[in-house]
Amino acid sequence: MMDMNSDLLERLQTIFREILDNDRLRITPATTQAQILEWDSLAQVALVMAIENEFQVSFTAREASTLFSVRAIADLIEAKTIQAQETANRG
Amino acid sequence: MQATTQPAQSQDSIQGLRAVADPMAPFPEQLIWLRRLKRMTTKQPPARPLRVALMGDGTLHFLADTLRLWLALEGFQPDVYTCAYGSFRQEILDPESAFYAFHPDIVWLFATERDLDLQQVSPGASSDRCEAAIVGAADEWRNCWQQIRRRSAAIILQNNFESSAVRTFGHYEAAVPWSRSNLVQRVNSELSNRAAEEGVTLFDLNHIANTFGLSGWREDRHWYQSKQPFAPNAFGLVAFNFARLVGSMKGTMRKCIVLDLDNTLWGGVIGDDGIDGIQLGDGPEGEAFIAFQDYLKSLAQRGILLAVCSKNDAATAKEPFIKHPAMRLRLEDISCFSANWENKAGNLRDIARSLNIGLDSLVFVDDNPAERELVRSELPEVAVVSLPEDPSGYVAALAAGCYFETTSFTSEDEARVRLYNENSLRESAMNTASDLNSFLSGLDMEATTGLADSYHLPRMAQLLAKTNQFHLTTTRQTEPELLALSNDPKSWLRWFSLRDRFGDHGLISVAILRVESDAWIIDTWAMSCRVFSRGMEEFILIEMVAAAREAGAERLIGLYKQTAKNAVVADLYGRLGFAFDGEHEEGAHWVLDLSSAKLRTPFIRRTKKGEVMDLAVAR
Repeated sequence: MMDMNSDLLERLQTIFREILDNDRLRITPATTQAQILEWDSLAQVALVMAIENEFQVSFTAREASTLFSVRAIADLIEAKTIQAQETANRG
Repeated sequence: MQATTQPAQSQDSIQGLRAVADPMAPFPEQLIWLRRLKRMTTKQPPARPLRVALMGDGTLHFLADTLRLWLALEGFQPDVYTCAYGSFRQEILDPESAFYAFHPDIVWLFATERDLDLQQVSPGASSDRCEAAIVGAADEWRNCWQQIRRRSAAIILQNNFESSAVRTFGHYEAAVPWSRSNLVQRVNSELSNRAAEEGVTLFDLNHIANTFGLSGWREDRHWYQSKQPFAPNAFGLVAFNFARLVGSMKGTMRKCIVLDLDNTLWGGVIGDDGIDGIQLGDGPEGEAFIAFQDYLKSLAQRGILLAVCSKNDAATAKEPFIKHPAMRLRLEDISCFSANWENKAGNLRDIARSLNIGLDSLVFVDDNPAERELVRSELPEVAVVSLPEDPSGYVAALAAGCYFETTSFTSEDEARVRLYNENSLRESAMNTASDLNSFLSGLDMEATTGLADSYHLPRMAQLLAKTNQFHLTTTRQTEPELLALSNDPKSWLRWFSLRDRFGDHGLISVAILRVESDAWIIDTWAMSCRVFSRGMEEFILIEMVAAAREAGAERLIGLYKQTAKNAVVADLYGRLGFAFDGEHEEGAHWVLDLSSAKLRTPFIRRTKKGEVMDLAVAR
C-alpha cells in the first residue's frame, strides 16, 4: 500500500490507544510490534479482536499470525473490505 | 440489556458506567469499559473487597478482566487470581501453591465441555461402561471440591458443561448411550446431585451458552489461535451472570418488582379506555401482556414481592385486578398498591418503607422512558429495567437483568410473601418530595400550539372522544363540529403538542374557549394523561390568558363538570390560581382575574413551527 487512507489510520490509532491503554501512543504505517512496548502477545490477541469488531471483518488463524505491523493490518483490512463489497455486489 | 435511553451521568463514575455497560457487547468493548473503570478519577462509593480464584484450562486472562469489570459494577472491589496455564489441578493438589496463598473468598472451577474427558468410552460401549465413565467424571470434580475444602473455607462454584457442538448421529444422538451429547447431559445431571450434596454452587454455563447461541459460543478459532475457552464475545454475559450470582450470595439480591400499570401490565390506559378497552388476553398485544403477567406471577410464587406504582386514581387502577377476566395478577398478588398522581420517586420510597426493605431491593418496571429516567436519576439504588417498545420483549428484558439469583429456596421464602402482604400499609401517604424541578428541567421540553387545520382536526376529535381523566367538561365535539367552531369568531380553538428529549408525544391537548366581551369561558379542555404535572397545564393557560388579554377581556372562567372519571382535575383551576365561583347549571365556575394573573412555565420552551404551518393552512 502506497498511501494509507487517513481515516483507516485514525480508527486504528484509536483502537491501539484503547487496547494498549496508552493515550499518547502515535502509530504510522511503518509502526511494528517491536517498536511498542505494550504490544505483547497478549495485547496482540486483544488487538486482533478489537480490529475485527471495529471493521466487521474476520481473520483466519493464518492471517492473524501475520499482523505484526500497522501496514500489514491496514492492507489486510482493505483487502477484506473490498472482498466483502464484491461478495455483496454479486449477491 | 440494550438501553433505549442513556442517562446523563458521565462515564467517569461507577453509576455512569453501569448505565452504559452491556453484558452482550463484544469483548473489545468490555475491555474498554474496564480501562475506563481503572482510570476513574472521581471518588467512588466504598466497595466490598472480594477475592476470586478463576481455575480452569485455557487462557483465562481476558475472561478475568471482564470479570473484574462486572464485579466492580456489582459493587465489589475485586481481586481476581487466575491459575498458571494448564495447571489448575496441580495447584489444587499442592498445599504450597500460589492458589492457596491467594486466600480466595470464592473459587470458580471454570470447566467447559472441552475439558470433559470421556475417552474411556469407546464406540459401542455398553451402558455399564457409559455409566461408570459418567460417575467417574462427576466424582473427579467432587474430589477437586474436597481437596479445596481441606485447605480453604472459600465458597466453591462449579460450571456445568455446555451441549456438545457436533452430533455424530444427528437427531438420533440421544438414542445412543455412548454418544457425546448423551454423556454430557448425564454428567451434568450427576454433577448437580453431587453439588447439592456437597454444598457447592452450580454455575449453569450450559444455559448461558444456549441463551447466547451455541454456534456463536463455539467460535473455535479463538481456541485454536489463543486458547480462549469459548467465544470472547460471550465473556461479558458470563461475567455478568457470575457477578449477579455472587452478589446475591453476598446479600445484594433484589426482593421486589415495582410495576407500572398502563402499557406495562396491559395495553392502553385504564382511565381512558376502560375495562373493556384495554388490551389484555386476545390479540397479539394482549397475549404478550398475559405472558408478562404469567412470568411475574411465577416470580411471586417463589417469593419475589410485587408492588404497583401507577399514576391513576386508586379505584380505577384496581378495577382490572378485580374485574378483568384475563388478568393473571390479582390484588392478593400485590404486596403494596400505590396509585396516585404524585412523583414516582417519592412513591418508590414509600413502597420500600411500607414493605420494610431497602431501595436497593427494588426493581422498577415502567414503559415510560421519562419515568424510568426520573427514577434512575433520583434513586440510583433502584434497578430500572429498560423495557423495549413491544410488550413481546418484556419477559426477556426483565429476565436479562438476572435480578433474582439465589442459591437456596426454603418454605420461609414462600411464607415471606404472605407476611409482607399483611404488613404492608396499602393506603400509605405518598408525599415525599423529590427534586422534581431538576427532573423537569432535564426533560428539555418543547411545546407547540396551532389552529384547527385539516391535518389536526381528526386528531383533535379523537383526543376529545378518548380522554376521560383530564377532561374538564367531558364534551365530545365531532370533527364537523370542530370545523364549524374553528370558523366561528366567537370561538378560540387550539391544539397543543409536546416533545421532550425522549421523543415526540404528538398532539396531547385541545382547548375550546367561548369568546365574550369581558370574559372568556373555558368550555372544553382535555389533555392526555401521559403529560400530566409537567408544567403543560400552566403553558396552555398562559396561551389562553395572552389571547384573552389581547382581545380586551378581563376574566377567564373555567368550567368543571364532574364525572366518574375526571376527579383528577376537580381542583385543577384552584391549583392554577382560579377562585371558586359556585356551582352553575353547566358545572362549577372558577374565575381568574386577568389583570392580576401571574403564570410561569419555566421548563417548557414554545416553538413557532406548528403555528406558522397552521396559519398557512387554516381559513
